[in-house]
Amino acid sequence: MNLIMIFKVALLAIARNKTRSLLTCLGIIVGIAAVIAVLAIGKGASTMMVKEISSMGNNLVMVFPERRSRDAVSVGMGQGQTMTAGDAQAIKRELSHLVSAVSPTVNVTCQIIYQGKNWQSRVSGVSTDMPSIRNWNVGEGRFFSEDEERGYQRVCVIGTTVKNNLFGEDDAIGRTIRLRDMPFKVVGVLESKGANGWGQDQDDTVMAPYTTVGRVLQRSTFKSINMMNLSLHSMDDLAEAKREITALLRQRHRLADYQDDDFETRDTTEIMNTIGSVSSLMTILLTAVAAISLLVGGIGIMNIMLVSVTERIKEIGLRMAIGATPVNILGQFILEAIVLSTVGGAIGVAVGVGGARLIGELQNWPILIEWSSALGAFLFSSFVGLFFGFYPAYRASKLNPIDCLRYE
Amino acid sequence: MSHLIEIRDLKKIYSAGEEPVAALDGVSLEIDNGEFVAIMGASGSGKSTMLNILGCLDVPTSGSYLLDGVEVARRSRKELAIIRNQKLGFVFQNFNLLPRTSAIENVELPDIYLGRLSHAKRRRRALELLKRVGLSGRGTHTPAELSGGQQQRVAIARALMNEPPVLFADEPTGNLDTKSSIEIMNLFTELSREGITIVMVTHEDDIAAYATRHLVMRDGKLIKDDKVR
Repeated sequence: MNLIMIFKVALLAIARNKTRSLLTCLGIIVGIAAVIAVLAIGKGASTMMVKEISSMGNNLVMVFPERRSRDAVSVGMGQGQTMTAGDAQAIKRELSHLVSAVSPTVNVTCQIIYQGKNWQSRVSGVSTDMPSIRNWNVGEGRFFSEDEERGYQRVCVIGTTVKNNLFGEDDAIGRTIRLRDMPFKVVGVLESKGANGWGQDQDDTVMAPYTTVGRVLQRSTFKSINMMNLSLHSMDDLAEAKREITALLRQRHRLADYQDDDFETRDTTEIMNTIGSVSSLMTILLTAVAAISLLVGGIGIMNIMLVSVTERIKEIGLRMAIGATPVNILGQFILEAIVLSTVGGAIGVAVGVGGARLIGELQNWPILIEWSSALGAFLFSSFVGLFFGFYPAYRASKLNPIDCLRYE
Repeated sequence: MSHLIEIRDLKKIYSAGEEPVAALDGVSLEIDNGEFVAIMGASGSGKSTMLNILGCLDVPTSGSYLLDGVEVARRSRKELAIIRNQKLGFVFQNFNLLPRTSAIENVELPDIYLGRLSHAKRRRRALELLKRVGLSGRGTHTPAELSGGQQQRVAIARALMNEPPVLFADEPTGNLDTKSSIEIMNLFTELSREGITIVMVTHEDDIAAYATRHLVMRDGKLIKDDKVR
């Protein structure tokens, strides 16, 4: 008796008990479908995040003053006072072969008042390079000029959220708003960028020359800045650029060889690596959940197959009496289990893909279906059938034909 | 000339309880080609054990069993399965057809395991056999749609599928009414005349009357061996 015949016998046996077969598959269907759907949603979310981060800027590198931690107490990133706008200008001047744009950044959160309305937002003191670094253009009006930057002019551009909250439909250009009671003239409105990967509204911002923000809003006697954003000519030069920036800043900060850096460089690849490791952790967890649900599904199959062996004991006896060898019986029941779990796996993949798409449609979530994981889940479900079908099939093959025929 | 079936001092001892019980206690006999043998006896006489061993469904504790000149008393389960498939046909009291399966597929089953015929030839042979047992046109019926007598005919057709030299029947009319019983026994008689050896267990005298030879058993021993015709 060849394999095709055993297969046919198994298929016929399944077709004869459609309801029971479907119930047997159910565990596998639910398990596979859940895994496929959750993976699709999770992958969609992390892909979206990566996309968001790459949209943060062109070949973006950030330099922060030292993250100071003394006796395990972190003072927080950007809180050091070791970096100045002069550092940023030096990088722009001396490393222009690597760095295309530099913006020192000074962040202040303050109340913004226009006539009777007020709104709290973040005011970033930046340089005129910022639009090209962040790839963020002005929608209406203009960005402030280098003259205004050098001249400590009280001018600013505002994000659309700020504009909508203070001006509504009215024109904002040329109006004067008050930041910490200092009048600033609005020269432009930034294009809308929407929320970033963390759900933060990027349009809820005001940009003004770092010179003005540092002097007028921070009222800082030090010329320290919170960070710098720089744009490289090419991400291929990342390692070299980091090295040269480090060397230049160490020299400017007069650090001796034995002293640690008092600044830190970050780039988007690092952030992406972090997201990657978070998402691979998530994948591991999901895989564990998948394995457990398939285990449960497999136990379900084993259960039903054991019941099925007892229920069909006369059939087994008859088949043995007319010439089925123990191997034939073993093969029939294992194949039944494999077919059940594989069909269950296939239905599960279909339900999972459909379910993920439906959820994505309803919730407006990004969905990414990885067909390799769908294939993997499908193949694994066959293996589950083989594994959990073996014991019941083995029991069936060990039965004595006389006992089977006599069984009542 | 060698016999189709030749058993020597066959014993089957069950040691399930405290005292070992000899279901077969040293039976010897020969059955020749074309004989129609009825094994009779009260329940517990050992006639079912006898049929099980002759039918290669069970193995004796000791003794020898030559089937068609080949020793089959000590064979593995796999070898016994192959012997049953190729040389023996079975007809049971409760028919033992696969439920929800058409008559024709039930008849085909022995060749599914043998794999001797192509799909088309197997179907043709199954149809021929159904015709021979008087069920042409019922091939697509499932057992539930057939009467007891018809089911037993399907079972006989199935037993003949692989052209076995010998047919074993265990109380073949036990579940049938008188009319169907007579029809089934007439069919056996025809098959016997065509040269098929039949070994049948029964406890009814009027059923045994169709056979050409009567074996009577008691307490695991053969106590009577009459050639009727």
